[in-house]
Amino acid sequence: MAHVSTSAREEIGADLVIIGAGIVGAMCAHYAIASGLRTIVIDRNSVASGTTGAGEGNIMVSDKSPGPELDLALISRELWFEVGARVGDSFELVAKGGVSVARSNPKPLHDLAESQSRVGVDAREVDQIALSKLEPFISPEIKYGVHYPQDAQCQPMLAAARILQDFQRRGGKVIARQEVLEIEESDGALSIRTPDMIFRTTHIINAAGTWAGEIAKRAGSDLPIMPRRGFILVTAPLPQYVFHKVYDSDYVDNVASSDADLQTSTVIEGTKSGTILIGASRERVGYDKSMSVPVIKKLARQATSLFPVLKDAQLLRVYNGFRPYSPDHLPVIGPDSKIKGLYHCAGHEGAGIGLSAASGKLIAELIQGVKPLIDPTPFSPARFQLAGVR
Amino acid sequence: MSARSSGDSLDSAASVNGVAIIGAGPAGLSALHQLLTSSQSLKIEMIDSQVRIGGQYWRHQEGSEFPAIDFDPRKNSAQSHEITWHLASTVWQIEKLEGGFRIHLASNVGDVTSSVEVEKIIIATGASERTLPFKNWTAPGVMSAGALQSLAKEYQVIPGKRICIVGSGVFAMPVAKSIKETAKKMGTEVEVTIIEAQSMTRWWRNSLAFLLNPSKIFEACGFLIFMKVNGVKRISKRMVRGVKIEAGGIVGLNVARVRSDLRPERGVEFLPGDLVATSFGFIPDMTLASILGLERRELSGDVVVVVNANQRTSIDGIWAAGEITGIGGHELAITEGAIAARDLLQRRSPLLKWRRVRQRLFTRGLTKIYPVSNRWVESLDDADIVCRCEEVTAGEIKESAHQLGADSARTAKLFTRAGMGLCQGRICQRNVKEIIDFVRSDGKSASDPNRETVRPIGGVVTLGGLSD
Amino acid sequence: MAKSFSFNGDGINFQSGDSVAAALIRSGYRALRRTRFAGQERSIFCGIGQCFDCLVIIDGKANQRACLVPAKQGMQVEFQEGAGKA
Repeated sequence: MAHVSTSAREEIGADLVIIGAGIVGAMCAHYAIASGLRTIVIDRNSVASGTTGAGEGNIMVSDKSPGPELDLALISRELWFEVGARVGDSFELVAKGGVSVARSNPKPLHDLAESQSRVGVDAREVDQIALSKLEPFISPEIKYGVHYPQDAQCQPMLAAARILQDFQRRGGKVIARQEVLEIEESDGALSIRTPDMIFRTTHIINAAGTWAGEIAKRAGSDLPIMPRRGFILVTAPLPQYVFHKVYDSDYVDNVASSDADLQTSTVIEGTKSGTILIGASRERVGYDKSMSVPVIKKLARQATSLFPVLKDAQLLRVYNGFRPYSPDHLPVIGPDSKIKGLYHCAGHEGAGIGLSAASGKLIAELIQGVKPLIDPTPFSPARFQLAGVR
Repeated sequence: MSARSSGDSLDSAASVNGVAIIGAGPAGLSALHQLLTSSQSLKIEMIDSQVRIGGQYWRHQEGSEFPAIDFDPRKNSAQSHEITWHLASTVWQIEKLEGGFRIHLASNVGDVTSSVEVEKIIIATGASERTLPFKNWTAPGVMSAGALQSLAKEYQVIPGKRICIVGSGVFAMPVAKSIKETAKKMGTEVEVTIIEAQSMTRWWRNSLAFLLNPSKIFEACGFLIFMKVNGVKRISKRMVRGVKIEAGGIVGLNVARVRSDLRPERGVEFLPGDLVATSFGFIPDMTLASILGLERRELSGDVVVVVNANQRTSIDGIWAAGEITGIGGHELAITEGAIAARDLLQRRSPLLKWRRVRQRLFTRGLTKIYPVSNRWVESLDDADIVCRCEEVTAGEIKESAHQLGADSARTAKLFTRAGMGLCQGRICQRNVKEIIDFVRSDGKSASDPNRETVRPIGGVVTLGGLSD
Repeated sequence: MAKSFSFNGDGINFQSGDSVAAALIRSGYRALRRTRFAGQERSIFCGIGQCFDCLVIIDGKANQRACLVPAKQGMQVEFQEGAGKA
């Protein structure tokens, strides 16, 4: 870095600095300010400019198998509606419900639903007639599905912005365009250097999404968070053809996979504005932003086979985003093993919107040292940092 | 042009496997004209979104004579070349291949797709008109001056009896002329009034540019005489504040006196009229340039493609010409198109380059005469719609900057949906940017020419069209 | 014999080379659609297929740009309400 002029930097003190103004950072801020910490949120760009700004706004429980992530998701979903009530109905939060369908063999979906039911997920099997009542425009070739009334959706960019607006009303600060150059620890105090500021604090939350690994590195630690590219197609506004989140059950398999090759399986849903979102592809191609015509075509084909009525729908744009993922596909939530005062809250992959509320609350509880809402062990950064997994 | 030097170069150009010219307006047709002089046989793909060639400037009626005989490809297409025309086709995506490009096309309705592979691309996608929002600008009977000209010139339709052309810039004059000429041909009466935001005396500031381009003096005088003879009224230093609508439709418009930075003064005057056309200059169409990832920069408020002296872009094998390298009108576009094509054929163009210098000087002068500063935002009421597609008001956009931290057209879009609709910000993006810039007087605007114009899908394509 | 298409059932004569929008405006029509939120009437605005304001339903397909689609004999053109019919 060619920055020499350290003297010109403005100095700011705080109890907690959150790096990242996406939805995860916003939720961390929401719970931290409530616990009385003097909190500042900084971002290298502006609010919701990373993965949060390139997603559908999924708050889902249906796509997860029983385990720590599903436990977190179930808590998080309830917290989302609490946050929604607190901030006001301003980010299109709605429990629209999800419908997972099986194209050929219904057995894996049936088994998944049964196991989910046992841990508190509301999962209702539907046959073709019930399916056509839930989704009148779905292809008649699809004969089996599971209805998940708990699945919800929000407009994620607005959610992050409104939550941070509320945070600022309660005395918090958001400072955009602060790229973290270096994090230093000395005598239990931390300082963050950006091109024009120095933040002095006792706690830092790394909520930098796909950049969380880089932030850890700039603090002298490490965190194995990698980007996984995903496209979402957006159609022109249409009359309401799709009433729930409708997805292929093989989507669930894809989420749990580490295969670098392209995976696509359709997730289709309508939005309040009338557009239809078609996701989700997953590829590990680093930060390659170029558009992939084969992926677009594959998603289009899958969507029209699930909803033939979409054949005439015009493709308006494509979101090209990067999901931050960790080697075991579980988010990383907890204290860094090397740097005292540094906490990580990242690696939520495609579930960051949904998991953000519980993740933010958990981190706030860990910082305060109160009894956490869930056992934090499965999410601890130590699982990689101490094992030396990269 | 030296016969020997061009002959020398042709052998080295023998490797050209396919050239696509995207845009069949003045720049694209001029490039084609040059390519056709090559003695090596070339495979050329000509692509345009319109049904007829000619672009915005050479609009013409179907079946009528092409307005620029020199550049009419039907007149001079040599047999040795293979030209494929893709008209009424939009490019929705371009993929980079090893040593070339795959251009994905869709019919205008978007239901039929195809693709062509080429080694080189001359991109000349031109510009579309800039319009500014005002009260009731979304009402039927308010249209861009270009739409009005197209109706008159291309279709012989005069859509009103008392037409007001409001805005800033030289374009209002040829539009008024087209209307009067068409009306005369049809034997109908039409009243035309031009309401110009700037003062006529500003032309003196550009006298040097005029002296270097004497043909422009005659052109300007020709228009002034035509307007005098045909009774086209001109009102200067006024800007539209809103259109007045009664039960039967548009009855007129309110205009306010403005300063040269477009800041409105108090009080409005009413002008009767039943059709309002509006034009505040042009915006380069950067959609494909951004899909290709060509390096872009800001030039007098516009985002344009960065090119070198030979019209080469930042990507090997792609040239850019015409309005997308900086708004400059059809003559500069012709020159640039020719330089690009000649460079592709490895020919030099010293004379054309001198002509380009002269022509650029002239257009830079024009931007000085008709500046559009963001003070026009002061004319806007919070309830006025800015994004026509998603029906987003000025008040909502301002709120996104004040309350949610929007600091660019891109972030304002994410919060308000302005620019997220069917047109993908083609109409409003620039205006949203200027509202944000205006509101964020702290100077913390974060507009980035390489991020703001990104539209990942270049044109209309349906899911069915993609599934085939 | 004049060529024609229908607009909401009315016969619209057109000339060869006409776009749907040009023929409709020549016949005295202005409003072509109504917006999906405020219910505002809209018509041709940019005239070159950029603004998507002149949307109509053509032969059952919504969101067609009247300024770009060439008029054809027997075409069924309809005023578009909002995003079109479900």
